Amino acid sequence: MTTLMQQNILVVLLLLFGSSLVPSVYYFLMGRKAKSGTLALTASSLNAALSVLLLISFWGAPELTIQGTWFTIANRPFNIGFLINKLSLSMLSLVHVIALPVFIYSVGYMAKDGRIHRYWLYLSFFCFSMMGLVLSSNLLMTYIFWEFVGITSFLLIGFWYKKSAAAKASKKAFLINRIGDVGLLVGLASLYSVFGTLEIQEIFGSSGLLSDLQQSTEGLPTALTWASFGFLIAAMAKSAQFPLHVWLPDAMQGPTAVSSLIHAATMVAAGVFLLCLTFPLYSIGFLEIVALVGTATAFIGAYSALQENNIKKILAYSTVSQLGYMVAAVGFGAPSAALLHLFTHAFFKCMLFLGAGATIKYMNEHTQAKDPQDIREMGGLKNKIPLVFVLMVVASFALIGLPLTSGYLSKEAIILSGLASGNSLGLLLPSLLIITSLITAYYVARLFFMTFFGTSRHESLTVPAGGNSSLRIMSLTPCTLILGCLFILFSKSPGGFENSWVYTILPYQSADLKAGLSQVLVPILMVAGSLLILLATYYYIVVNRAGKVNTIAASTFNKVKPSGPSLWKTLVRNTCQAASWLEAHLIDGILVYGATGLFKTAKGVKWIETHLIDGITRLIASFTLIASKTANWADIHIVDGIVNGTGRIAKQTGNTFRSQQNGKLQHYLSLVLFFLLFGLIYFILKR
Amino acid sequence: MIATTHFLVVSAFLFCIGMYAVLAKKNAIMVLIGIELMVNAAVINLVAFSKFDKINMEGQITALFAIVIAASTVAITLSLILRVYRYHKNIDPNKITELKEK
Repeated sequence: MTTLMQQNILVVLLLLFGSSLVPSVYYFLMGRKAKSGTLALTASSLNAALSVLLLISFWGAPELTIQGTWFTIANRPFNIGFLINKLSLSMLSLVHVIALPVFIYSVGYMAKDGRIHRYWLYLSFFCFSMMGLVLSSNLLMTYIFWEFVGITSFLLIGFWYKKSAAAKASKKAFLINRIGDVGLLVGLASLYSVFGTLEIQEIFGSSGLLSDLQQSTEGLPTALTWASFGFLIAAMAKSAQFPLHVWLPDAMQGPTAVSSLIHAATMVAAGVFLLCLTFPLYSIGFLEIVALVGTATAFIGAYSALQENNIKKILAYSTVSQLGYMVAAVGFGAPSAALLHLFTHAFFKCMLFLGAGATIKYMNEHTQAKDPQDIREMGGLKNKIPLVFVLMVVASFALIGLPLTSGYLSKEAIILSGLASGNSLGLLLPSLLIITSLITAYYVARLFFMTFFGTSRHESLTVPAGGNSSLRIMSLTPCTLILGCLFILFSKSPGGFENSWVYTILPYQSADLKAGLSQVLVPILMVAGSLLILLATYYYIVVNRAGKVNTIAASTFNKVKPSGPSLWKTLVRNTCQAASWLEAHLIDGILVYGATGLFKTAKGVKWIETHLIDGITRLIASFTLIASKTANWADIHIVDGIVNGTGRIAKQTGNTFRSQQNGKLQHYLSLVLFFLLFGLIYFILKR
Repeated sequence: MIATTHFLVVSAFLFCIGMYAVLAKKNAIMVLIGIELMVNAAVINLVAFSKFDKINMEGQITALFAIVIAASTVAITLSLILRVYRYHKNIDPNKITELKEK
């Protein structure tokens, strides 16, 4: 690496940082006067272009650290710097490429908001912080930017802070993320206690301190286990892993554009990014815990999505579930698969959210739906907003993981690496993940068919002139992301995830995937299962609800007219009747009761979530309350007592001595005499 | 024979009486008289110890000096008391507390 190139990269980086920070500063200084998002948009386009340029031009070059000393404590320097490698640059590009359509989309979505200047401020600042997070060369900087993205997330969830639900949701997200922050801090402190540095490259590099330690014959210090747990908790809070996932569905109170960028595509992936970054740290036993957490999250997230009717919350639970897949992939020892899923998921989930936002906007402005986010109020929107329909089709297929989509690549990658990993739980986790992906097919299909098919439940209102322009922006911009939903962006062949460029990002060797029966069987099982569920859902929601059930048995029954007491006819009629009864009761029954049963158990999961987990939270809260009350008592009576006591003593002494200075000459003289005598007696006795 | 000790005892009595007057009297003139008594106690001591002088009569001459100086200080102090009286309309030392911080 020549210094010339280093300088070029530094210039580009500074430009990037500048263009990320300038809008924030501008909107901060201008306040209410700044109404247009032009500056933010320009900066965002510049960011996207520069980061992709940097990624392409840098691809394949050895990694590079540019840093300077920030401050020094006891001869140990703390640096501020950038780590330039494939991982950081591809994450950077992902963030900025996804951010660009979201910024454009926001122009339409937030058009009439009075606090738009705040919105641009927060969103620009988020891009800046995310950039710092992925580029930082040491974990201290990572921690700082980690907090920054946390605070922007908090601010944007509570953007409509006058809605009490939004205010509560932001508080919840903030508090739960604090747990993760404590975890990260513990992780950092433990690492520092072992290695005496926080430089990512020095610790986790291929010949870094960690690998030296792992190769040495001495046992690993327990502090490393603490660090592992700390990082896991940090990732669990940020990436919404069970049981710390409860904040994410509530976070949907924020603007939809924000949900798509921050709470679906980029910020929530920061936890997975952290796990990938610190992957060498984790022992095999610890990875099994990670896999368990991820799988449980994937399953519970998908299951909770079944019982939701709010379009954004379904997507939020889906995000939880997909993040669970990523964490599970890390646990299976395949961080590359996690990263691949992170990338593909960012694209299609962002698109789904943007599409949902456009749908909500349509429902809000063009119909009289009571709750514009409720999918039960929607229906038949396919013809009303065709562009949104198209992009939702593509994104949904990617989410389900149908072939030719990017979601297929990454999901296969995760499940196959799960089968290949020597997890002590055997086939349990991968098969749970397969079941989860089938559930995913069902809730996506439900969302999709209820929204776009069937008959519309509300009459369209006449559109005020110019009212459609923002909707047009909102349905056109997400289409730019369609490319990211197809396999072609990630791999040359539709099934060859191992040849994907994403697999070259991380230096860690993934587990060997044995070319066995499962390689063929699992994809077929998943795709066939998903397609079957899609069809069944289509039948159940669209055809059945429309009242067009005209099955063979029923039509035969109608054709055979009761003309004369013929035994054969009676037999046929009875058989038909029985068949149609069977069909009506059994098949519908299975479908209906199955669905209802699913629904009810999903409610049960929700109940457990609200009662058990919230109960635990409340218990912890009351413990904290008691502890803080005790601390308060000790503070008032002991600490304050000491302080006040010292003050009182000083005051008393002062008063005693002060009263001697009363201005009376004779009093002074007697004091002089007294002390003189005192001294005299002392000298006499001493002798 | 009157020993040196007797002189010293008389001087000590005189000093104590003077001290009492200085510390306890409610009238500045009485305080002044107390001071004079204490000065005279010291003078008695000078005279008594002059018996052991190396140079003859040194102590007694010093005593004479002290008496003269005491007389002049009495004059000055009386005039001060007069000024204080004019200013405060009072010469009770307990009532004049100008030395105290305000």
